[in-house]
Amino acid sequence: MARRKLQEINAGSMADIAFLLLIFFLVTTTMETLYGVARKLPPPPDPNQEKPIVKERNVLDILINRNDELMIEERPASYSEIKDEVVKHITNFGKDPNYSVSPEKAVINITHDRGTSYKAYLTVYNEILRAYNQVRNEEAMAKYGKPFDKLTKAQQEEIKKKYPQIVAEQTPKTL
Amino acid sequence: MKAQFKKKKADSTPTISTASLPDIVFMLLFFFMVATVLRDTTKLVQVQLPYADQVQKLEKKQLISNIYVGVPIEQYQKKFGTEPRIQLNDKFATINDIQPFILAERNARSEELRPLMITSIKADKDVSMGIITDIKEKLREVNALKINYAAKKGDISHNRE
Repeated sequence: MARRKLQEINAGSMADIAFLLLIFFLVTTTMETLYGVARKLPPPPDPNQEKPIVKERNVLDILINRNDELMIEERPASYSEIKDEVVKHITNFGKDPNYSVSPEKAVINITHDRGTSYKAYLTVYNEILRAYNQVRNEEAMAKYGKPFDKLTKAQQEEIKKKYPQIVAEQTPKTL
Repeated sequence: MKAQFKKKKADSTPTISTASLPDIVFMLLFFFMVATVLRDTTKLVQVQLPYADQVQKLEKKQLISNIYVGVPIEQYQKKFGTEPRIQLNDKFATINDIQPFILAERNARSEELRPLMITSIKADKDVSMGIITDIKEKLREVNALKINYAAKKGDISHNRE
């Protein structure tokens, strides 16, 4: 039998096939990675449960009206002040009688109007989160010499327990 | 003895080998398959996310249900007006459709994933909080408590522009 020469497969169209697949994936997919501000809603209200009584000094009231204007503790304020106010409120440890007794008891209370814009609300919420992250980070640095997100789960829990994040939101009323 | 080397013909232009072209294209293809995610819904509402910097990355796509809120895109404005509307899946919805939607999303996932589910609210930066509050109230009633306000990563001062 005569030795047949090995037939080569024509790979010329391979590129076309691959291009076709490539274009399909380019069209049907998106590149964007999703980012978001996480929030845990309180469970549905239980009619039998009594309202917890919180002392006035432990509550930091933040109010946003329908024109996106701010009030912190009944005093007009700007968005850049929120973070420092919240930090001051959490880390007061009973010194100033107008701020909280201890971080565990500190409550941030957001009240907004139905006409408040979403971006204003998210900005305020973002600032409160930033304040808590800063306080937790400082605590982590002081205690373990590492930033908060580099700690182990147990260490993070410990700091979270010391500085819990209590943010209350009121059902919006017309302001 | 036969000549070992053929003499190159001087005038014929050599053809470029395209044998490695499929490999290059496949490499690109794999890159895009890994780096991108499938587009799930067509948007019927205009959503310009607000900026925030204390954000987390949303990793597990299969745990997320999306609620879009915004003004309908131009071609639907005649029919649905220019007031912000809610979009669930591929349809316009009202506030009362949210609870059935969440329950359907929950049923579509296995038992052990259900407590981990996150509802992502993708709202336009200029919608009013009234509609967002209504959504949150509905989510609370069905115990979908983990929510996430979708935002663009960036300084919050961009929000005031």
